Amino acid sequence: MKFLDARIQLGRSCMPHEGAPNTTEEILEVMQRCDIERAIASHAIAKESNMQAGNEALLALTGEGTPFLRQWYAMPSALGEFFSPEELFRQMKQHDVTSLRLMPKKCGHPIRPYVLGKLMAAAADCHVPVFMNLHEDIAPDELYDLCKYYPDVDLVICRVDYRQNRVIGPVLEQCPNLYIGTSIYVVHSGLKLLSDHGYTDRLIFESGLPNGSATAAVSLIRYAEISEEEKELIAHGNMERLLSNVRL
Amino acid sequence: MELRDHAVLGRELKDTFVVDVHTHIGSHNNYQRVGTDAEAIIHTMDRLGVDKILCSNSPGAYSDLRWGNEVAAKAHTKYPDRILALAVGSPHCPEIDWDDYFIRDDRFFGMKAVPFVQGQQPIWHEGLMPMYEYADKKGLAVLFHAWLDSETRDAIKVAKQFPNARFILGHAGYTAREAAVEACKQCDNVILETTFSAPIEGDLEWIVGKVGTDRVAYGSDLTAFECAHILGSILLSRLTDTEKEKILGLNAKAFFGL
Repeated sequence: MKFLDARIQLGRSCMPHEGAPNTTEEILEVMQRCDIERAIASHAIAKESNMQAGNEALLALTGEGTPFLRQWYAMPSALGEFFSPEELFRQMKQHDVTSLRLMPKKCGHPIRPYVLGKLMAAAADCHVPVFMNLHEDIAPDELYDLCKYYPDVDLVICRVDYRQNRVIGPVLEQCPNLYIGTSIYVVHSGLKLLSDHGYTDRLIFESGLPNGSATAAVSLIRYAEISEEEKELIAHGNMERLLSNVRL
Repeated sequence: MELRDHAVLGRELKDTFVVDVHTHIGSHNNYQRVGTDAEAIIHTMDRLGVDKILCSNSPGAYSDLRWGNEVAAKAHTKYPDRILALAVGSPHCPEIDWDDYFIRDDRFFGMKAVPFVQGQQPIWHEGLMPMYEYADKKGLAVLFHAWLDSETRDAIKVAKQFPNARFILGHAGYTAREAAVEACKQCDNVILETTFSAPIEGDLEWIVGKVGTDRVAYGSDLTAFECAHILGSILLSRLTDTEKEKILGLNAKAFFGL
């Protein structure tokens, strides 16, 4: 089974974790060990300090000849501090950037349409999936509103932990645009539970390297008590389907 | 077939002795737990190739100890070769007569102390001293929830004070990993357990590099968590198969005389 990892971070972090794969070469070694053929990558600088500089730095590390698919961080820009949606998506097309990541909490902006509406409308027009991490970027009790505000945007929520079934269950049921990252979804028999409820096509493999564990994340899927076809969907098929819809 | 191949194929381990030293039976209100009864646990163990588990009751730790411990004991009675029951203590119940568990009842293998969920009490607590003294007298295993640095530092004090007891530091090597290293340096009667809900790649190799292969034992926190992610991360790690076999079961076998 081959994997498409929907979340890795390249570039030197301000807080490298001793023992973790902190260089691109080390990340590639782990990917090879885990049969991760491709990965959606963003850059540490974009997350930790400066979006535009980090997004630009990502270009040199990714794209043709690498296993990395480009993901940029973005924020709303009513007063011109970031690209306008039109300019952002023009640049994304130019640089083959096929997904976006938002950090509402860290960037201090609400998720409501009066702030994010224009950016999300552009993402919907281009079928560009938008990623966030649970807790770090968005609170569990904001998930439902996020999905309802932007029903035409495919929302991939990563780092969904083992305590969230009572939130994600209703949101998965009522919001077809929600996708769940599996990196730390360590509910006992959790993937089987979600698959039994018909949500196999809403599950996305992501490791979170270098701040997560790819060896653990692939094992959740490989050992899940679900069919091989379902495992393939989670490992790569669902994310490939979302990316195939992108029209920049 | 190398050990890693089992994880690649998602297959159970067949010729490797595997002990999970940190598991729970029973459901709890705090979040949805799945497959928490003895049958579901055995099913998971069979699917992954886990031979034995050390198991305590989870909800009982938060409320009625005797009720919870009875659940674990009944699971042992049903699967005596697979499920080894741990009796949970509490700093609020120093009056427990541990002979009730280990003399007049022969269904228990060891003890569990998780005072953090019993009013956020520390491991070094006057109310737990009778429990530690009993473990010391009988040479019993005691599993600690050692997530916090303060818990791990307390566990070091306890392990030094009661050298005949054998202590497992649950969740060691992650958030309090420097303290866990210190525990191994200072206390021969301590072993580190591997579970974390959100592990970081390379942490296993890091802790093994610091304390040696003989001081780490596989644990998963099943059924509070899944158990496959930690098992798989051991199998797919950069350690040798000999090192993996020790962590998966041989260290627990030697440490507890299984």
